[in-house]
Amino acid sequence: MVLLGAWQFLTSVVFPGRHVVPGPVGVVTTMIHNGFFWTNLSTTLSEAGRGWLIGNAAALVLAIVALFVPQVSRAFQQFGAITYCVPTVAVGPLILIFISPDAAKVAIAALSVFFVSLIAWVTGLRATDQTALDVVHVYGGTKLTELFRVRLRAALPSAGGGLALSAPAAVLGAIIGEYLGGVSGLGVAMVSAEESFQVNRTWAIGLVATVVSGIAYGAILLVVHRLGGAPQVGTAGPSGPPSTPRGAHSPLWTAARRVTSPVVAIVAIVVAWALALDLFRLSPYFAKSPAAVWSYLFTAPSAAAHRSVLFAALDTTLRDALLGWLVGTVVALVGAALLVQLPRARAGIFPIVMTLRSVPLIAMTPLIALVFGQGVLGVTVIAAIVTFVPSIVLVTSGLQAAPPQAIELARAYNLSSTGTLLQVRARYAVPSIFAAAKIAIPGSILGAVLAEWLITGNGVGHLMAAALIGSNFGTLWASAVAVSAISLLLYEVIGSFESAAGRRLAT
Amino acid sequence: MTRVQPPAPEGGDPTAPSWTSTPMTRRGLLGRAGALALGFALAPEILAACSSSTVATTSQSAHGSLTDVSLQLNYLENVQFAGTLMALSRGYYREQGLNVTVLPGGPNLAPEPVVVSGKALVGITHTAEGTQAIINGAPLKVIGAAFQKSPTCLVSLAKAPIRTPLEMIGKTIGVSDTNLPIWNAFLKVNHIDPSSIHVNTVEFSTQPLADGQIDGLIGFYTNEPIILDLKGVPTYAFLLADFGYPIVDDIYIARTSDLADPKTRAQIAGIMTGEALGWRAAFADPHEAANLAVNVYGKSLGLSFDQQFEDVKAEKALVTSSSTAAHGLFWMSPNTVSQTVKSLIVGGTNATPSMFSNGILTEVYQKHGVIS
Repeated sequence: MVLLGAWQFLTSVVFPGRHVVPGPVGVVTTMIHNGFFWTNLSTTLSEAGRGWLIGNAAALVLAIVALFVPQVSRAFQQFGAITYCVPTVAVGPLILIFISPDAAKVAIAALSVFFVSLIAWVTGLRATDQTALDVVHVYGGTKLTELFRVRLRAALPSAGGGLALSAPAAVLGAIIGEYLGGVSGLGVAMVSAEESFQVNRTWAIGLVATVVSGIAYGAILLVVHRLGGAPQVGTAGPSGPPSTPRGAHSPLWTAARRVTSPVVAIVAIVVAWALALDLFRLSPYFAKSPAAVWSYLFTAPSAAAHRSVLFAALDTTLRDALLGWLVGTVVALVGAALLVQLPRARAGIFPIVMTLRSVPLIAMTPLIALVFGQGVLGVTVIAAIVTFVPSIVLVTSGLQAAPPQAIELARAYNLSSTGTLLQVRARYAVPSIFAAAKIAIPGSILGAVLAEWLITGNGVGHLMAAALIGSNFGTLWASAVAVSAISLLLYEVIGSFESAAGRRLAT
Repeated sequence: MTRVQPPAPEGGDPTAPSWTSTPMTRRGLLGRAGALALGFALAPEILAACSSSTVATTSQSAHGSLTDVSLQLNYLENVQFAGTLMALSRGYYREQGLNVTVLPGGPNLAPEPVVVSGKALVGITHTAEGTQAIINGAPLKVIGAAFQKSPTCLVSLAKAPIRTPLEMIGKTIGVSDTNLPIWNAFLKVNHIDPSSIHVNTVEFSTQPLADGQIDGLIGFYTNEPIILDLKGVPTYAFLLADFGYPIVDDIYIARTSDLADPKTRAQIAGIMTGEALGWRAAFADPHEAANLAVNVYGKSLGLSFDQQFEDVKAEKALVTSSSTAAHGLFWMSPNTVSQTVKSLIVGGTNATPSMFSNGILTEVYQKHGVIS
């Protein structure tokens, strides 16, 4: 309510002359006057809902397999991370070639959901209380009874967070899919509204997408709660499970695993990619094999030129993403500190976090561009929003994770509460900062790519958009591979920092 | 997966969803088809899913045997495709034995891979995109051009009009990614240094122009100027085609292999027949064409009737010419092709006249008489 009031105030009092930002009153009036709205909403919800189900089902199956065959757990997570790092805007047009336009939207929604859910399920299934498992064993229960009787139920709090978080992601995926074209849907309606200069309607669609995502998020949390698990909104979601396998392994063994499992996941994906092209006998004009991408980048006569174009674009994108990540992280750190120091601030900060978490970015990207301009500021804001949400959630729980003994010790030494925050709590929050960065950096790269694709006209996002229009599929594939590879690399590197920080804290 | 369409209901109710790209769900199919027919109806769908080269499946309908084919558009279903909408509504495709599924496009879609992969028999695309795809190895041919003159224009505000290309120098111009190749070529033919103009990427929005963030916008003569004029923002617009950049647009593309196969070639000719009849009908009755876009096929888009109506009327000057009056709609005269190729080459797309073929149109107009 406060947010809405501030919005109306800003638009009608602060910027009354500019018709770029309509107030909520105008937006809601537009919504009510548009019966067309519900058709579009139901199309998008149907796509997002099916994508959400498929993505979550796939994540659950893989998480169960990983539970029984722990050796594949890391490879599965790498695979999930790759799906998270692939720029969906670029692969959408390629997905369309394999399946129907409707299924393509569902598939993009499922892709957007998969990683968040996988992590939540893997974490949840592992989180089972050992005593409960012992009880099952004592009564002669098999691994399957253990799974159904105990583990799934115990996984609910963590998985519930993932299920809820993935709802907005599914809506975002569906809307990205709708940019491929369609008869109805929020994305379709948004493109049409924007083109025909319907400012109020554009905002109304963005607002509805946000509200619906928020409702879906809240409803899922509620259902999970009813089913018996109090969802851990704070720690669930894309926080990542303990990154190293449990047990006492030598550092060398751990390091070896850290290197080999991504390699295994990458090799598997490259093989699957090559096989799929063979199986479907796709035209090499648009379907580039791994060998073709390699040749495009390294062995073709113009490979050097290809590389320089790609690297220049990557440079821009990484700068955009890094700046956004820094801003998002700093704001999140300040917000998290406020949350811990002033519990009363929760009422102010949490609604903002929840709203931002539910925003399907693509719906807001053109609007953000209108408000913040098409330059670096617009991109920064988008990348920062992507970063801010997981960071504030994870860092807050990290700050609260300091053991009570440490806090009491600080008090005994007469440290002020700010002193405790900076000298004690901050130490314990270090792993969570890395955990947040692990998710947020690939996320901010994706956000930057999306913003470049839609608004700024530079960077890899723009390069891919131009490649698609110019039928330069070599460029499109190479760019998508490069973005995925860099994101994955950063994910892995930060992941190793995270476990190192965790180990330091433990000793 | 190729969608299996239900037969059109008796009387051809235009609001029935038979034309849409909304897929039939399996459940929906079960409800409509008899138990026996089900096996036959599903089989081609499954086959199509496995071999992406399957284009057409034959469905049994009350109207006899109609062949299912798809037509990929490069944008949402508005009067940019007035001929297509009229052909659907008036049954011009059905008269040709075709049950045409129209696949709408969007800002993030390239039609060429859809046609190359066999997901659509015919596609409508921009000229530079389509010919660049052929250069990059897409086995496609250009079989007609909906717009004899590209509707691409430069729109500015009437209170600060940009009347010639040279007047753009020093100004800020909005160009969407889609229009970048055209934009670069246009600067080249007019000998304008790209660095002398500030370019903003604008995706499908007239807002920055109305708000004065940019001084001009590359758009469609049939779209942005009309939208802004109707909104009470008077505009000035010039066609790029009138300033050194003559080029056709919204070209029809088909696979060379489909053009070589007599069966699919006849289906392609059937689509083009329906398109020609549809466009002729749209110009005869722009009111109905606008109504179809606003209230039937583009119903979910929330289009404005006034704007769509004005669009169809504006399109007539671009789609018809003395050449189409003599040879039929979509005809690509040697002169038109050579001018288009010249413009494309300036833009860095090394197109050749051999990419364009009037073969299908020749057959269509031999069979049905010149449709213009």
